[in-house]
Amino acid sequence: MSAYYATSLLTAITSLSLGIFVFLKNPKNKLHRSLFRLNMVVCIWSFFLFLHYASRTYSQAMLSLYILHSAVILIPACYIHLVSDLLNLKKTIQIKVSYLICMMFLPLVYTAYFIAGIEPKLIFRFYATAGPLYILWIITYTTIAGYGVFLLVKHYRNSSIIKKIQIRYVLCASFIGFIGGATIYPLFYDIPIPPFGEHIIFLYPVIFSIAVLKHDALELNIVVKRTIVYSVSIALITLTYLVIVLLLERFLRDIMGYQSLGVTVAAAVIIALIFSPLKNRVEVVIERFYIRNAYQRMQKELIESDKSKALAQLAAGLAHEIRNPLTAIKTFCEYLPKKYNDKAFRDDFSRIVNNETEKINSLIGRLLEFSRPASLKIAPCDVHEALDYTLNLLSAETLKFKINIIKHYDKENHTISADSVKLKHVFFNLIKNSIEALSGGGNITVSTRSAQDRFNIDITDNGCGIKEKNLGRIFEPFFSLKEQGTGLGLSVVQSIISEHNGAIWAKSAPGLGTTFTISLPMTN
Amino acid sequence: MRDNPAGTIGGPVMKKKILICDDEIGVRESLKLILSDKYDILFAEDGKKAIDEIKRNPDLKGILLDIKMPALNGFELLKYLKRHNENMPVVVVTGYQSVETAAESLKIGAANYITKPFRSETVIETLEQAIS
Repeated sequence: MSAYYATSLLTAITSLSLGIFVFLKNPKNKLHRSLFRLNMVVCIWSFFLFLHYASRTYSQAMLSLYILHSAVILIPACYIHLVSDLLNLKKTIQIKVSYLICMMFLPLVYTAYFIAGIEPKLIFRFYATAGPLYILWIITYTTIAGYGVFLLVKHYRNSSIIKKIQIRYVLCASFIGFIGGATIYPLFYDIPIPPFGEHIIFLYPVIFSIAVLKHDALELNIVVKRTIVYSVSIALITLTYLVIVLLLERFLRDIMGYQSLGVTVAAAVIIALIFSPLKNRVEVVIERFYIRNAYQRMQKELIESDKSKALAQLAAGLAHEIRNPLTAIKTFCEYLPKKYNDKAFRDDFSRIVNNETEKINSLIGRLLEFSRPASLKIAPCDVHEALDYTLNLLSAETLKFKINIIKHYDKENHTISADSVKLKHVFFNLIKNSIEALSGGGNITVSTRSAQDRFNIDITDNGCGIKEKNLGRIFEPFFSLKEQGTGLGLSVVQSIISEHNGAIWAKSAPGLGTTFTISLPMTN
Repeated sequence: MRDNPAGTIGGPVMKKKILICDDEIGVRESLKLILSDKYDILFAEDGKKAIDEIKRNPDLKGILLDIKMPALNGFELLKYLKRHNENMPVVVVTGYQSVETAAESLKIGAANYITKPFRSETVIETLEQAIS
């Protein structure tokens, strides 16, 4: 019996903590919201299942049974909603119809047609007996959930690799959830099979969360570990909470000689006051002893992977650049046998092939420069040259997204002491961000100005802008406003600028655009 | 910029006049090597200079156009031609081997496109088809 208490409480805790975690991670993402919705319903179901098992009186058991069924009838609709969001399907009507059908069972839950009664069965003090209409609910549940599984299987083949992994996880979680849940029902019909499947249901929210967060390695490795640790800590705190409430209630009852709701409420208020500091303390301890090492390791790995991504983009840009000299060399070689005796051709051949080979060599040199590991190498650096170089690398993307580049360069001195390779990294990240803010086209303005011993660079776009509440956080590691972002680009930018004893800040007006300003010392 | 302007007048056969617009000298020289036997060739290093040449040479029969150029890029030049109702056959010569670039060029009025590095026969055939 105690095993059933424990697993239903564990399911409630994992659903609650993972649901909240996934939601807070990206509240704007519809998939995250869907998982939150489903997890909350499952959390209510499993928590009241726990209370149902723990009930001492008939009325307590009936009340918890009604509440848990009010939640459980929403599970199939929430599941369809989640599947539809995962697969990016516009199944608005199907989702609404599912919710409507499920809600139709709500008034029935409180009647004997749905639950005929409760009685002792096997090891359970109270266990429900199905009413005549309960079978309708089981059929509906199976049909709607089956439709969800059908959609997942149907769209599996044509999905991207990441989506396929997500679908596999969701199918696995669905299997655990539905098979586990199905074992509850035989005993409703007095078939003496215990609801043993309940013991594995707690795994379902964990696997679902992994599926939703699967696109991001960071989330997968840190977050799941973190969530498990938090779940355990919240469970401990909840247990402490319950024990204190019971003890306090008994103490007050012994002293004051009566038991009332007021006593429980007062106890709850006292606990609520110490709950938050206690939770924070546990978080800090866990953060210190467990997470930090993992976090630092992941941060290092991700900075490397971010660098690899940037390098891949650079390589793509340079590959295009290499096609021009290759074209010339190829054409002149093609004509060599035909025009070998033509002296003018031979002169052109020698000049062109030589020049174009030099160009390829210089392009490869630039690529190697970018991939070089990074200790700061301060030397005279022409900022305009670095900016033009970066703009040229990103020209394929500015063309693709119909973005105009406007340059307002200071005509005075534009050579400063800096690491030109690292500075190009900074410009690359900032201009790439601007391009991403301008997916529908627009302008990027690059301005420079020297002022006494400082050199300032402004990179402005007239894109979607950044909300004020987010503006203060954009340089934080792992803070990202993009669905697929690692949140490292701007933190790396800031660290490079700091290495140069410079400063970087951003101004933004939502809907109007963003300006990043870099201020660097002329000499370092 | 004109390559051998005297070649167009007084010769036994009047060659058709075409404009090669590319910012890379190596590509310009390559296209000249391939096409100079059959065509009278003008050069432009960017979109703005191409517009000047188009205005100066009403007898121009076709353009070979790079997409990525300073000043005015290939897409912008194509749009300019469309706006000014210039019924000029344009063959885009691009280093971007992507369907999007090709589709975008054709959408805004290019007759055809070639990707770099190209074969000389492809250049000759594509240009002939576009001009005829």
